[in-house]
Amino acid sequence: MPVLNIEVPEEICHCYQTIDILKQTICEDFVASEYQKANISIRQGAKMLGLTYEEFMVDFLGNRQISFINGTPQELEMELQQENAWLDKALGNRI
Amino acid sequence: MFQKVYIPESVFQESVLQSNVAIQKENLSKAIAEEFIIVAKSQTVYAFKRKLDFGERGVINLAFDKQADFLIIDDKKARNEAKELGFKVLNTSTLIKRAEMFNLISSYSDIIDELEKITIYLPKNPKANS
Repeated sequence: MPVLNIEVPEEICHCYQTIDILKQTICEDFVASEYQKANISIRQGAKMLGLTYEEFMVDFLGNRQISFINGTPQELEMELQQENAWLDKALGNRI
Repeated sequence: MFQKVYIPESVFQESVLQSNVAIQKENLSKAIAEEFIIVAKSQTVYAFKRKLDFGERGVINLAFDKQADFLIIDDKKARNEAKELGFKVLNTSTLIKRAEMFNLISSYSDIIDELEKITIYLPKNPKANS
C-alpha cells in the first residue's frame, strides 16, 4: 500500500489532542469522501476502517448524515430521471 | 409494483443471517416465507471490470441468470458496472418515491424520517416523477 506524507498546518494540528486522533480523522474523512465519489464500496470502506458492513453504513455514514446511495446530487438527479423513465415504461400506472 | 424479487445468497447472508437490524431481518424473512422474495444461487460468474463486493457481484450474476427486468443496487460503483453491462438499475430512493406515487406508503419524507431515526440516510429530496 502506498504511504503518503502530508503537511498539516499547525492551526489544524492544534485542534486535535494527539497526532493519532488527527491521523484517524484524516483517514475517516478520506474514506467518507472516496465512498461518496464511488471510488470504494461500503464493504471496502468498512474494511479500511475495521468496521462491519452495518457499522460502516449505519454508524459511520449515518453519523455523518451521508446517504448510502452515493453519487453527486447532479448524478443522482440524472439517475432518478432515467430510472423514472424506465419505470414509467414498464409499469405505467400499474401498482 | 413487482411480481417477484430475486436476491442472491450473498445478499440473504448479508441482510438476514449476518444482520443486527431486527426489523430488516424480520421483514425480509416474512417476504421470503411468502415467496415474494426468492433467494437464488447464481450460476454465472462474470469477470467484472471493477472490484465489487460479494453482495453486488451476486446481484449482477443473478441478473444474468434470470435476465432481470431491473436490478436494485445502491452502491454507485456496482450501479456503474451493471449499467455498462446493459442492465436497468434502480436505487432504493427511486423505489420509495414510486411507492409514494402508487400510495403504497404514506410519503417519501415519512420513510426518510423513520430511517434517519436509526441513522440511515437517503438522498433528501428526489424530485417527483413528472
